[in-house]
Amino acid sequence: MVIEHRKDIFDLDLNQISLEQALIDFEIANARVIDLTSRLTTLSKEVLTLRGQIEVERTRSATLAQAASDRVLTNSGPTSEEVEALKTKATQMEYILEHLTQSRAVAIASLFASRLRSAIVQARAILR
Amino acid sequence: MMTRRPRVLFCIAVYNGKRVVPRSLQSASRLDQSVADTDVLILDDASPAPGWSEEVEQLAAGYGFRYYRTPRNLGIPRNVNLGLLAAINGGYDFVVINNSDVIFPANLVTQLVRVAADDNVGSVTAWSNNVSIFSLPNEDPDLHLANQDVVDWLSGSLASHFGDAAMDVPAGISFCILIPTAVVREVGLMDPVFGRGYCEETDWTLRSLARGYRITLAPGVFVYHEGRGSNIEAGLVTNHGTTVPENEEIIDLRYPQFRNQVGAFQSSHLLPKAHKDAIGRIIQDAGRQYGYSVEVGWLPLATRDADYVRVHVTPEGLGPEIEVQFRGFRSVLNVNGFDVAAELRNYFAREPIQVNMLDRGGVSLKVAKGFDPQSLQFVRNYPAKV
Repeated sequence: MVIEHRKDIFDLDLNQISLEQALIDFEIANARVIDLTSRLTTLSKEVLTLRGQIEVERTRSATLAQAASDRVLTNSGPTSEEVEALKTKATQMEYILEHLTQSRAVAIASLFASRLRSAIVQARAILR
Repeated sequence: MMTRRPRVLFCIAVYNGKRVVPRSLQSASRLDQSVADTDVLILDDASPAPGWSEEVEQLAAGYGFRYYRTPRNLGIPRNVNLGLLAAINGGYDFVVINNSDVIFPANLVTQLVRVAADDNVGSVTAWSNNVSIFSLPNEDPDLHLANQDVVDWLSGSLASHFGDAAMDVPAGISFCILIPTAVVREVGLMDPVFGRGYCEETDWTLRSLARGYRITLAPGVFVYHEGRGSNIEAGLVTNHGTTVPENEEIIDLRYPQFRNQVGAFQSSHLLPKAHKDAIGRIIQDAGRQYGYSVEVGWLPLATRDADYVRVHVTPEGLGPEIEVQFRGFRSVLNVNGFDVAAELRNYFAREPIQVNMLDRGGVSLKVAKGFDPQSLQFVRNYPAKV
């Protein structure tokens, strides 16, 4: 059996109802403040970290920009490392070409292939 | 299913409002109690105007209402929560939350309770001239509608057309909203995070929607709502503002899809159809009950207000539309251009009170022939069109 709790509006203690709810509202408000403070603290740390990273990236990008700008102004061409790398490649290419042009198989094949014959002539010209 | 009469706690939130509160209290004293037993509770949110709270308490006592003044100003959400809690503690079946700048029709509670009969209805907002995007358009509600007899009549007209129909809407409006206490128990109270007010009922109704309840508007009841006055007094908004932006941001954060849902509702054309049906019915009922005048001419008479329907016929030939207006409500009638008189006679089921001939052109005279010559009145004037 369901017992209905019915009260006349004039019998209700609205002060008591208001006080109870005010205490609940305070608890919830307090919990929200704590939660929001925690989130605020975390986000503040994150913001500081991100700001630091931005500054590092700004400095790096400024340095690179400066270096590129200097290269253009002095017309110094490629770096010494780049030159060394190119030289090494060229030496390797020369070695390969020399061996190819001196190969008997290649010489015999060139008798029958005009394109191979002209490529060998060009290669010998480069090597000279 | 309820086997006894439902009990309703009718709460009116008051904050100052000397100009509007006495009218709304008197209005509440006339609520029909044929369907539900209704108790009225006045929740005075520590109105600061000197002597005002005492005055409201006396007024309330005179009507047999319970009056309660909070020791400190709580703001609208927490003041409303007192009403919700009082309803739950008192064992009421429904609670109605109201502003104090309103005029209630006598059939308000009857109609709202009928709409809330379904268990899945979480809230029922009354229709009004001022209920956010759902407002029933009117040229000047404060002039035409701020009257108890007019409000009663309008609400009766809409009730006879819409009955206990419920329109599903994106959010409720707490200027006048009925909520079953069972739903309050499940969904909870208004969130005090909305401070002094605005958007708290949007949040509440969306929470109820998330729990599977319908948010509804009752087109079969009309409440006059002046609007904004008490919120300006309370410092919620300025004279130029219509909302509290910080509260809107909370809604955007909690319900990212809400604005899209409102947009979808507005695009659905449900509202324009409801407006058209409502205004059409109001004007037809008014014409049948109070009569109508016909004005034939390019410009209607500049009468500010009338207790009957005014029909304006422009003498430009065989146009199918005729404008009708009553107490700030405007609509158009699609009529057979050949026999305007017969169409109007049929629509309003009576002869016109009078026919004002503001133009003497051939078409106008042709229209006039359809009416009783004794009702014709020729208004002498220079031509309206150059």
